[in-house]
Amino acid sequence: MQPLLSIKDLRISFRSRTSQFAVLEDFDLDLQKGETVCLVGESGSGKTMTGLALMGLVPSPGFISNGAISFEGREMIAAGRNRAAEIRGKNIAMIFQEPMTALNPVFTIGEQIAEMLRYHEGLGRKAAIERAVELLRAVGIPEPEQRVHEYPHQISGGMRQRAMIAVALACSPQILIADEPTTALDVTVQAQILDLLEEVQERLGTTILLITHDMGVVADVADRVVVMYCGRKIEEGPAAEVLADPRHPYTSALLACIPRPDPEATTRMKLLDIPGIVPAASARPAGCAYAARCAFAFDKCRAERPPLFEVAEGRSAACWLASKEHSQ
Amino acid sequence: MVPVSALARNLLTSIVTVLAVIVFNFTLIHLAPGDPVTVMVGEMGGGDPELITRLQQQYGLDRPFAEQLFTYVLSVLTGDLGFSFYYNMPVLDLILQRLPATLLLVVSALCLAIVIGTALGVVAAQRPRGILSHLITVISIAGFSAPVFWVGIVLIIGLASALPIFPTSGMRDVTNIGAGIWGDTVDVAYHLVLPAFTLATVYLAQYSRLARSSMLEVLSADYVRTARAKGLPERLVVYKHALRNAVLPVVTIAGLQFGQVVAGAVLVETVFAWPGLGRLAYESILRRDSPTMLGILLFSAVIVIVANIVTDMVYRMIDPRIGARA
Repeated sequence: MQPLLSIKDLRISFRSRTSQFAVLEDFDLDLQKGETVCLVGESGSGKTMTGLALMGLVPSPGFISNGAISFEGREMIAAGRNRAAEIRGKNIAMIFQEPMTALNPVFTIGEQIAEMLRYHEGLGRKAAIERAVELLRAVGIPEPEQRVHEYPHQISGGMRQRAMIAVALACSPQILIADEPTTALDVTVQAQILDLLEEVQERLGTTILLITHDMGVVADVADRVVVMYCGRKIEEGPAAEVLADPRHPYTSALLACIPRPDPEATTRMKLLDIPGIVPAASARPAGCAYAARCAFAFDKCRAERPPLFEVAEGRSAACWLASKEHSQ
Repeated sequence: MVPVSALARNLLTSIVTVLAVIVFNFTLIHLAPGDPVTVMVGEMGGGDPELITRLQQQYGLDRPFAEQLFTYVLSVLTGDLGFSFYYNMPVLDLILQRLPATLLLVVSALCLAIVIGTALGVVAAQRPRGILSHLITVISIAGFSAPVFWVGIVLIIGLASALPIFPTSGMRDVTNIGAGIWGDTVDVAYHLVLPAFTLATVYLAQYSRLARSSMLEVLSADYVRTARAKGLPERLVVYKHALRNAVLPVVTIAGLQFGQVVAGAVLVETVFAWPGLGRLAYESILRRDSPTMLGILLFSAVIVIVANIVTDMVYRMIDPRIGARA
């Protein structure tokens, strides 16, 4: 089956006066219709950059230096070319981490939804506002007739994220990119927003690319998970399998960091972390970028970067431990 | 949209401010050396001490300071700003005669500065490191640094003398009397070009710098990224989503600057012989005409206060976050 969206060999580089370095490299990803894929990784792993690249919104001085992105078989973005504007907002929509700042403070919620419909679908002002009320109702905002005339500062954070989702859904996009949509919200509200995204997906068949650093969220909603580290994909597979049996030490470490309450414990639980820091994008080591923090690293890891090995049907991991020679 | 309570609160503080301004100005002028009677007697060709004492008595200048102040405040409150020694007419009439010319000049200059300055700033912010941006910065700083009277003189030499496109001075052409309302308007507008532009050059720089930095900040805001992610054309992203937020500081400064522009008008009115309050202020200071001086200071204060109230109201209309739930 032809994927809805296909990323091939994507590289995003940043150029400064003296140097150029990549923040995302050798990145492949296929999104099928109606699935939820989670992009997981620490800050600086390239998750958000991937999302922005899909929208054609890589911030300057960053640019796509290699690779291609195609949507429904049509090439949208390749190095030096960018046709993302044609599908942006209409076919692919994005919601962001901070609902506090992602909405424009000087326009009403209704106006911010309605302008999508007026611009992309040529609706009149009145019809667009009526649709906006419907959209607000659909994302679970109470009294939508009233809220539509209110400004972002007049509603709560959770409501703002719902309004943001209504903006994103205005033109019924096939793909919704959600960049850490729950990070800035209260825990109770987080679950509501995730439920809302799942409900939207069931109703509209939307493909969701969820960017997160929270393995709990992955366990909750993901069909497939892509783990990223230092601008590269290091593990990919069906969420249930990856969570149950991670093949990359980094994925294992991420899973170990989730606090689990132990009723038997007599002492206070120790929170685990991954020792060391993520190397800067401008100073990445020659071998595996994770080697310096990895408990299993050996000489080859430091000398040579492991490619993605297919470890099972639809599963891959970029680790020498996952290679065939090693398992033999 | 504008809450009545905010307006009422503004008016109340304004009244207190105006009272304070009256007392302060009166005290200041009283403390300053020089006495209108000395000037009058000097212009009459000298006089004996007896005449001076009689004149001082006549004008009440021999009374204690507190009594003079009290009399002045009381008469101002009843709408009487006193009588000009020099112009021989009530100060209120004198000021009302000159006020429209100054307001016309100041408001035109400020509008020119805001519109052109903001436009330049917005253009510069699109490509902050581009050649156009640098050019705008240089022009802005040059305009800001040049003394306003010098700019006026250069413009007169260039565009009124060497190339006689605009008139050198005044507000109306004497040969144009009886041209009707339309003809008169055109004539005044024609005379207004150079003085308004001169006064605008100083303030233009501040608006273009302010608009540039404010626009740069806003363009990197999350909601601008959202606007782009919505697939809106760049035109809507910049001129709707970004500009509306970027003009907020411009509006604030415009209100604060109104007073400075009125002050700047003194120089421009002198250079262009513009029959406004600024020139009247200049002349009344030379003549030690204290009632006129006090009247002008009072009017300037009122103008600035009104400008600030208007700014506040405009701000409330542009930014829904302010006072919306007050």
